[in-house]
Amino acid sequence: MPDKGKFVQLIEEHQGLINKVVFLYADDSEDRRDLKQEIIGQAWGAFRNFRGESKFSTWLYRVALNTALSSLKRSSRQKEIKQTNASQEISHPRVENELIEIVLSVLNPIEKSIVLLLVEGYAQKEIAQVLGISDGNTRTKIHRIRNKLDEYGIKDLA
Amino acid sequence: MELKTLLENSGWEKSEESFSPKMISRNTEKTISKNMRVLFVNNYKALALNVFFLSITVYVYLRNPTIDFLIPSILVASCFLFLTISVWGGIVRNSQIDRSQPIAIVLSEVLERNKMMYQQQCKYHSILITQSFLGGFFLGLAFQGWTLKEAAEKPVIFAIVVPLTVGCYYLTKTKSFQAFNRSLNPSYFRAKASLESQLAFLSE
Repeated sequence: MPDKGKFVQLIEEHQGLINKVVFLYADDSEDRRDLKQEIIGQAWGAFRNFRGESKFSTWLYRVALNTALSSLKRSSRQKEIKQTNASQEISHPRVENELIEIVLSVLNPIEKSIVLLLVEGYAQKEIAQVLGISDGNTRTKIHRIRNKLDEYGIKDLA
Repeated sequence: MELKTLLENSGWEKSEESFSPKMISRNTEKTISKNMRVLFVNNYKALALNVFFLSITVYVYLRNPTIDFLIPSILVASCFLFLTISVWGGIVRNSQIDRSQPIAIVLSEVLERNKMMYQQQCKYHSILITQSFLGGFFLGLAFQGWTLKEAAEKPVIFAIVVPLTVGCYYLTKTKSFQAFNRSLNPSYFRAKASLESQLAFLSE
């Protein structure tokens, strides 16, 4: 039986990580609450298999992303995409939020996972392991994502 | 512009409700039920419908506890029972997938288990629908005051029920009926297509 106290403590310490995944994959507050609870539930279910071979955060990212990706819910963010002017002044919070919405709507669910891991400072090799694909395939996908985001005036990820 | 800064400015790390040890602990206890609700929303709908029809059938028999109601009720109820057990089994099997595996493996496993459950239901759907039709037909007769013995003695009943039952079986085998059946559950097929496209994207 896994140590529940330890698990609760680890989740408390890593709640920012779960919030980030929820931010990317859930649209409204009900979906966010559902997804968050689902991630905790799935993580607890899989915790007995956690051997500490990878960092807890990497393990939790895998569980959280898998839960979000297989939740079978379609995001309402997949709506009509308006092209923004890359030279537009984007320091205003409202414009920034619109830009994030647009960026999230042009990325498919797997690309969002890659972006999240890149922003969090994961190396290409680690991302490949989380996704379960080859390094070369991961490199190609990262390259395409960078090009895609570049069209919206986003030059750097992190 | 840096994406990380944009995301941090939007407060992506924060949440409307933060986790308390009590809330985390509560969610670990609800693992199975939450898994089922979120992962298989469509199956829950199917499960609810099947339980509903099963309850109606049992209720009809309990209101009229005679052999004339019992046999058709068993015919109908066993179909709903089979579907209910099948959907439930699928949900439980799906919730057992270890989400800490690499994403490509988890997506493949979810799709594979979905497919198994769908095939299991499709394999018998013609028999189930025909059996339900037959049960419904005799239930209808029972409501009209016919006993099974009386019905068995009337050749006209056989002349009606046999071709209709055979017709029902072959109708459910047609492509147009299967297309109609699919159209009743569009969100399942959209969701399945979405998972398949994610998996295809990973292997591109």
